[in-house]
Amino acid sequence: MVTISTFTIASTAPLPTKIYIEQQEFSLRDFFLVSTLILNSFALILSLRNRRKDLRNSHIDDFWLRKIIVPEALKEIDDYCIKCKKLWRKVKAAGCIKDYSSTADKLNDLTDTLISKLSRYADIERKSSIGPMINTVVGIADEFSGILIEILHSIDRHSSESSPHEALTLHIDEAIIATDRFQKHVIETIARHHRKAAS
Amino acid sequence: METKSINLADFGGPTYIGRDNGEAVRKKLGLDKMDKNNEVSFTIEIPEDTFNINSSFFLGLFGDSIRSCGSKSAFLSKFNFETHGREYSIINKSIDRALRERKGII
Repeated sequence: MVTISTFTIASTAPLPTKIYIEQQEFSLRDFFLVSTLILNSFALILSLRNRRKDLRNSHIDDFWLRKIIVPEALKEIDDYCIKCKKLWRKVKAAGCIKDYSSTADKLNDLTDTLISKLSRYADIERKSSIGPMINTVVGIADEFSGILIEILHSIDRHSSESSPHEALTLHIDEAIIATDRFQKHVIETIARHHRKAAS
Repeated sequence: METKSINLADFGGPTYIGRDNGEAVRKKLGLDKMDKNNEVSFTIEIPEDTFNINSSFFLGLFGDSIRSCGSKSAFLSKFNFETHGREYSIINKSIDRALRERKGII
C-alpha cells in the first residue's frame, strides 16, 4: 500500500500593508530643546573666548605688577619711610618740637604725597587687579598717618612732664619702629596680593 | 536756607584721625540724608584746641558730601569751616583727593 502524502503549499506572499510613520510636529518643547542646545554652544564658545582673554589680561597684569607697579610703589614707600624717619631723627637731635602743628602738617603732607603718587598707578590700572592692591596700600598708609599723629600728640602731652626729653626720645624711637613696621606690612601686603594674582 | 552748626569737639578730639572715626561721625550726624537736601548748609566748628585733623578722618566724614556736591566751590558753599584763624591745608587737599576718587582713581 502506497501512501501518498500531499502537501499543499500555501501562498504566503505578503499582503500589501501600509506603514504609517507618524510625523511629529515641531512642538514648543522641541523648539526649547534646540534653543537650549544652541545657547549652550554659544555659552561654551564665549566662555572659552573669555578664558583666553582673561589669561592674556592676567599676563599683562602680571607684567605690569612685577615690572612696573610693584618696583615703583616700593620705591615710593621706601622714600616715604626714609623721609618720615629723617624728620623724626631731626626732631630727636633738636631735643624738642617747637611747632607741633607744622610738624603734624609735614607728616600729613608726606603721607598725602605718597597716597597721591600711589593713586596714579591705580588710575592707570583701575580696571585690573592692581587697583584693589593700591587701595589696600592707601588704606594702610592712611592708618599709619594716624599712628604718627597720635605719637606726635603723645610727645606734646608729655612735654610738660619732668623729663620731657626722655619722653620725646622714647616716642621718637616708637615712631621709627612704627615706620619700619608699616614698611614691612606694605611689602607683605603687596607680596600676598602678587601671590594671589599669580595663582 | 537753614544753617546747622556742627562742633567737632562733640565727637572727640583734640586729634581727629582715621577714616573709621570720620565715618562714625558722619553716621551720627546723618550726613548721607543731609547731602540730598539743598536747603541746608552747615557751619563746621573746628575747636581751637585741635591738635590735628588728617585727611583720612576728613574724607571719612566729608568724602561722600564732597562727591555729592561735585565741586570744591559747591562743597565749600554748603559746608563753611570755622577754624579760629588757623589754616588747615588738609581741607583743600582732602577735597581735591575726594574729587579725584570720584573719577575712579581709588
